[in-house]
Amino acid sequence: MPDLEELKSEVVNSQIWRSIFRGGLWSDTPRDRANHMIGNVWLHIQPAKVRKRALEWTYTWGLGGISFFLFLVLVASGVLLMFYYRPVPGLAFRDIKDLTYAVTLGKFLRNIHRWAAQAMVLIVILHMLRVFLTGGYKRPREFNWCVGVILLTLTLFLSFTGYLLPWDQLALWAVTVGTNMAGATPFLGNAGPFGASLMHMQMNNDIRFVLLGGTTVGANTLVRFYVLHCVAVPLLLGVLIILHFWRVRKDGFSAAPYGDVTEPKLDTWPNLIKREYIAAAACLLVLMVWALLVNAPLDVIANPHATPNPEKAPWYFVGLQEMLVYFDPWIAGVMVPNLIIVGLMAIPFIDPSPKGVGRYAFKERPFANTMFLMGIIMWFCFIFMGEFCRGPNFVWYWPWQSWLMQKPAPPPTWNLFGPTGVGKFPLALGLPALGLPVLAIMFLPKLIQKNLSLAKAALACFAGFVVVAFALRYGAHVPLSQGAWIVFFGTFISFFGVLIPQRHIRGLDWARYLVTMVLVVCTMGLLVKICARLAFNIKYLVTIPSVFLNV
Amino acid sequence: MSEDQLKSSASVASAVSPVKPPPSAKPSSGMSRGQFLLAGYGALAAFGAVIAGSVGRFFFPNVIYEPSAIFNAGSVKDFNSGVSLKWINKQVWVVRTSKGLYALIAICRHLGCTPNWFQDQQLFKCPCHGSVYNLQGTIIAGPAPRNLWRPHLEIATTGDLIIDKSIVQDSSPMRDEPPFFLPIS
Repeated sequence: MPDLEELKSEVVNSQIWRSIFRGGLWSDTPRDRANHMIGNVWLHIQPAKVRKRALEWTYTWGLGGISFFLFLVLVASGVLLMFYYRPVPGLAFRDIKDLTYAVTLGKFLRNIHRWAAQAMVLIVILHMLRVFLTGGYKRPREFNWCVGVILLTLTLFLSFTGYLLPWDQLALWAVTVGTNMAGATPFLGNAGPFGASLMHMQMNNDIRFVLLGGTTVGANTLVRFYVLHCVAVPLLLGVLIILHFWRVRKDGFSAAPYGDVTEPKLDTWPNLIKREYIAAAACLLVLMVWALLVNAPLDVIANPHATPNPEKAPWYFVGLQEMLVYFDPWIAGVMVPNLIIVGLMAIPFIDPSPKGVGRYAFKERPFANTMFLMGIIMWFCFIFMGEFCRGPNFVWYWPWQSWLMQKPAPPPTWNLFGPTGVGKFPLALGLPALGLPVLAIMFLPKLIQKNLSLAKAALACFAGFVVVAFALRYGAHVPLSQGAWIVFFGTFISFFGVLIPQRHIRGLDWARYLVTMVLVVCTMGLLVKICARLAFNIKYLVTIPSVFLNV
Repeated sequence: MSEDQLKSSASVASAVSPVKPPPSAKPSSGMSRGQFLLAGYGALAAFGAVIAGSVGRFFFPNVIYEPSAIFNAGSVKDFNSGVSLKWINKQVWVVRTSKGLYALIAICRHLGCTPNWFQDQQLFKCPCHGSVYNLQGTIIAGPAPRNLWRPHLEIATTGDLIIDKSIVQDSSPMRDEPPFFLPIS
C-alpha cells in the first residue's frame, strides 16, 4: 500500500486531475499561490496579492463577504424550500405548516432561511456604514457605491416579497400595506396626487394593480411575488453582485489609497482566503445555532377581513411604518424611501473632499460622518418607536406599559394652515410661515461666512428656544411640557440643520451645497412634523386638499 | 470594429472607388453614414420601446377572478340601531341611526387595513397606523387622508338591502344622500 503522500502526488499529477485543475505539483511557492488564485474560476475574482491593511478585521469587519455568504446560504436554503412549496392561497400556508412539522429538516431550513434573511439586511446596512466611514465611496468608487445602494434596496425588496409567501396574517397585511403605498404614488397610483384626476388611475389600471395582479392581495399576487422572490430579483441581485465585485477589483480595494504604492503586499492565498473561510464558518455556525434554537414565526392563516391588532412590519420596515403615522402615504411611503435611495446615491457626487479614504477618519470628515451617523441613528430611533412604543390600535404605549391598559380615545387632530385649519389661507399664510424657515435653514449656513463658535452658537439657539417656550407659556398658555418639545427639537434642528453645515460646508460650491441642504432640510422636516404631531396633535402643517398637498 | 476603424476603412473605400461621390456633395443621392447609423439606432430604439411597452402591458391582467362587488345583505328590517358586523366578511359595516341607514367599507383609507369597531368609544380604529374614524366614517385622528367610503345602497322589491361596493362616496353632503344614505325611520 502506497503511503498517503505518494497517493496524493499520484492523484494530483494524474491526467484527470490535471485536466480539471491547472498548474503542476503544489510546492507552496509564491508563484504557486499566485497561480492558484489566477487559475481558479471561483478565486480569480480576487487579486493574487492584497495589501496588509486590507486584511485587518477591524477595517472591513468582513461585512461585504458575510453579506455575500448570507446570500449564498439564502439561495441554497431557498431552492430547497421551493421543492415543498406551492404558491397558491390555502396550499401555501399548508405547505409551510408541512415544512415546519412534517418534512425532514424542513423546519431547520425555513428557520435558517428566515434568520439569514434578517441577518443579511442588518449586515448589508452595516457594510454600507463601514464603507461610508472609511470613505470607500469616493473617487473612483462612486459608481460602485451606487451599485451598492441598489443592492441594499434589492435586499430589502427580496425580504418584502418573501414576506408574502407563507400566506399568514403577517404576510397578507404587510403586503396589503406595502402595495397600497405603491397605490399612493404620485401620477401612477389611484390614491396618489394627480393619479386619479390627471392620469385617470383606477383600482384596475394603476401601478398597484400591476404589483397585485388584481385589485386585492390574492392568488395572482402570490404568484407574482413568488416569481419575483425566487427568480427575478435574485437573478438581478446576482448580476449586480458580480458587477459590484468586478468594480471592487477594478477600482482597487479602498484600504489601499491612491499614491501609497510602497505598502507591502501579501499573498491572497492563503492570507485572505483563510480569513474568508473563518468568517463564513463562524457565520454558518451562528446561523445554525440560531436556527436550532429559535423558530421562524408563523401567524395564523391569512384572513382578509381581520387585521391583527397591532399589525407591525418586519423590524427593518418599522421605521417606515412609524413615518407613515405622521405623513400622507405618498410622502412617507413613496417620496421618503425614494429620497433616501437617491440621496445615498448622491453622496459621492456632493462630497468632493478626497480626505479620509481607506481609514476611519472622523476628524478629517466631520460633516459627512456626523450627518450620516445622525441619519442612521434617527432611522433606528424610528424603528425603536415603531417596534417598542406602539401598542394596540398603533397608539403610543411606553415599553414598560401593559398593552392591556385601555388608552382613552385620542383627541381629534387639527390642521395649522388650510381650509379646515386654524390659518384659513394655506397659500397666503402657510406658504410664507413654513417657507421662510425652510429658506433660512437652506441658505443661512452659506450666507454667514464667519467662523462661529459651535458651543456658543448652540447655547444661544438653546437659550432662544427657551425664551420662546416661556413666551408661549405666558403669552399663549402653551404648557411648558409642549415648550420643552419646542426647545429640544428647535435646538436639535438649528444645531444639525444650520450650525453644523455653516461650520463645515459653507465653502462648498452652490450646486453641491444646495443638493446637500435639500437632503438636510428634508431630514429636519421629518423631525418638525413628528414634533408637531406628538406634542401638538397637529395632523397637517399645511393642507391644500384640491391638489393633495398635505404636509 | 471601433468607430475609428470604421471611419478609416470608409475613407479607404472612398479613395479606391472614385465613382462614389462624397456624402456632402449630393444630399439627394442618399443618406450619409452618420444618418444611416442614426436611423438604424433610432429603429432599434423604437423596436425596443415597442417590446418594452408590450411586455409592460403584459403585466396588466385582462381577466381577474375576484368576488362580485355587489351582494344581497338581507332584509333591511334585520338591521337594528347601531353598527352591524354581520357583513364584515364582505368588508362592510352596516350602520343604522335614528335618521336612516348607511354602510361603510371596512377598509382603512390610509393603507387598506381593516379597522376595528369599538362600541364603548363609538369609534373605528385601525391597527396598522392608528387612524380613528367616528360613526359617520369621518377621519378624526391618525394619518388617513380621507373618510371611510360609503357604498351604493339600494332596496330591492323584496325588501332586501343590495350593497354595491364598486360605487362609493366619501364626502359630505353627497354621502348623506341617497344612494349612499337611505332615510328610513
